[in-house]
Amino acid sequence: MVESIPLTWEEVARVYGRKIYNFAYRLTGNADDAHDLVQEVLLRVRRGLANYQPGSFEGWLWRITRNAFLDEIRKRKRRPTSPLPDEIDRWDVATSDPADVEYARITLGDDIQKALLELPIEFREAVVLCDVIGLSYEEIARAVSVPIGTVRSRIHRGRRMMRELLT
Amino acid sequence: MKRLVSLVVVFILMPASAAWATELEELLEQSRESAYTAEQIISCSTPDGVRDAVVRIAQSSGEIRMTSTVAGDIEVSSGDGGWTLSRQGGVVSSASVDSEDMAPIEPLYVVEDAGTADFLGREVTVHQLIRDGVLRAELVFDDETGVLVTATTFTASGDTYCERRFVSFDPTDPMLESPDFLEAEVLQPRSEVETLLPESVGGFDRLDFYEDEDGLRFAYYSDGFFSFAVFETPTIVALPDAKTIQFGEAVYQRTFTAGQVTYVWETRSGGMALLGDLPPDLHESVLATLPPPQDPGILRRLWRSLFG
Amino acid sequence: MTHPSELISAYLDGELIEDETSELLSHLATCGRCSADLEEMQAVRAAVRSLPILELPAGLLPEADAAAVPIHRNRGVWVGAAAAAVALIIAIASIVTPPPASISADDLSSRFGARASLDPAFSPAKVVVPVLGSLSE
Repeated sequence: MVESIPLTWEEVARVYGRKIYNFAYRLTGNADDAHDLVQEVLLRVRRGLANYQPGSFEGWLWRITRNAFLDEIRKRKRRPTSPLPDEIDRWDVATSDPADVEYARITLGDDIQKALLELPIEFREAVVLCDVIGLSYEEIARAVSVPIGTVRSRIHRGRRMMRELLT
Repeated sequence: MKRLVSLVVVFILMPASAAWATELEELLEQSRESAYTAEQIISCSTPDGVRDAVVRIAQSSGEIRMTSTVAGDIEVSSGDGGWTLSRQGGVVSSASVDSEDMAPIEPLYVVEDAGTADFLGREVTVHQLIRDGVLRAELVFDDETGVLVTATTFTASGDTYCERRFVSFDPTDPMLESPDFLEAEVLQPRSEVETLLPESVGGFDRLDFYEDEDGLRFAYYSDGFFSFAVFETPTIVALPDAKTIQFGEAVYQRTFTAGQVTYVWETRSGGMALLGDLPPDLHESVLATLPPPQDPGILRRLWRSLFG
Repeated sequence: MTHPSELISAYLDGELIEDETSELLSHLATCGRCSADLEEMQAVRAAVRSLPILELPAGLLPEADAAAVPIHRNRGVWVGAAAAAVALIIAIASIVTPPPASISADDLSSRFGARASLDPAFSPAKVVVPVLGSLSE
């Protein structure tokens, strides 16, 4: 008798939900998109758990999260009414709630979030995974499927760009 | 060495049921000797709410090191009579004890083989621990390495109490360096014991009794699988974020972590505490056999209100 | 002369190997530009890390009392005069004020844990990391 003992997706949701939400929020800058992304990720986890190959669980989870995020970007780029500029790797602040563009009342946290949104996607996700989620370079490398040297370089260049944007 | 002798004694004297207990001990011994790294999710359903934790585990040479990703940098290193807790890289608490060469506990648990299964792509075998006809634990061991990959404990009504499950597993030896234990002496158990703590509590036998130079006394109880310690402390131990819980007329402070309960209370002679991994349905009966909470007396209350 | 600026970022995250660390530190000792770079990089890093961790909006997860893993960020390296001063103060305080004689819950855990490690049932099911409360902190 051979049967599987699955990890339940509710367990994954409960334990990792907040991390995924914060990753999504900092990457998109907006709560609705983050909400949708979390739901999409959990859906994919639910479907994918049956085929989960043993290895690093967190790495697998972050890959799913990233793919869901990138798929959403590609979807938006294809939408004819999108006001986005041609670059695929930006979520324009203007696409979120117009009230956000009330510069007079922007707090430091908002400045940082806006600067993050100016970064190219690869740099933004590396910085968020490192400084918001708290993954090590190795964990980020696994999640993003690039060598550690690339992770190092992306975080460095992302922070460089943020420094320019924040001064 | 000593343990091996007592195993043989058990086998000769009580062949039938001893075979079950020995099999459990054999499985657990194999698990103790393995080396690997893993990530584990612990999820407990306690009367005070859900308790979850995600830990990284490294085991090698009889030592288990657990790092928690919860609430800051916590690491526990344990094995061979030692236990060290570090927070943010600094050692917070450490202890080192020895054990008496005890006569074996009469085996309470019947071990039933519940078949093989597939877990994280590996072949595993499921064992059920049954006590007095009640399923108390389900243990899943990896066939190749003998590692305990899943452990689930149950209350008497069949509800899950705690579930621990590996979500990733690497049987490579992590080659742990020996931890920096503080210069603590190894605390020896006492052979002559004068204490109010009973010798046996609901199937849990008192195996060791200790007293250290600060006046802290404690007894270690086990039923062959679950275990707990009862402490006598000079004053009541402060238990952060505790809930007040009442059993009959007795009032205690209690916290649950993922996998362990702590009760503290006060008697006329000082403070008391109980820590262990026994399921919640056993708590009330165990506490009922221990010295009950008592009013510490006017003088003590006055002292405390003056000096905190 | 090359400036190992990429090492600076990784150094702050505690991700350098020993050789790289000594190479960087000896460079910083003589290079004002890179020392300034280090400070600015640290400020950016600290800024992003200062972003609040957001709570999950209601109804997003299956269970009412969804407990989640609090986000813990890797330690990295603390540099700079302010940090050094704080470390010194903490060190002085621990010498001057002797630790309280009272017993803490961690002391109970350590003694129980030590004896439990001698139990035949000692296994990943027996070692407990004494984290108080649930994960929803």
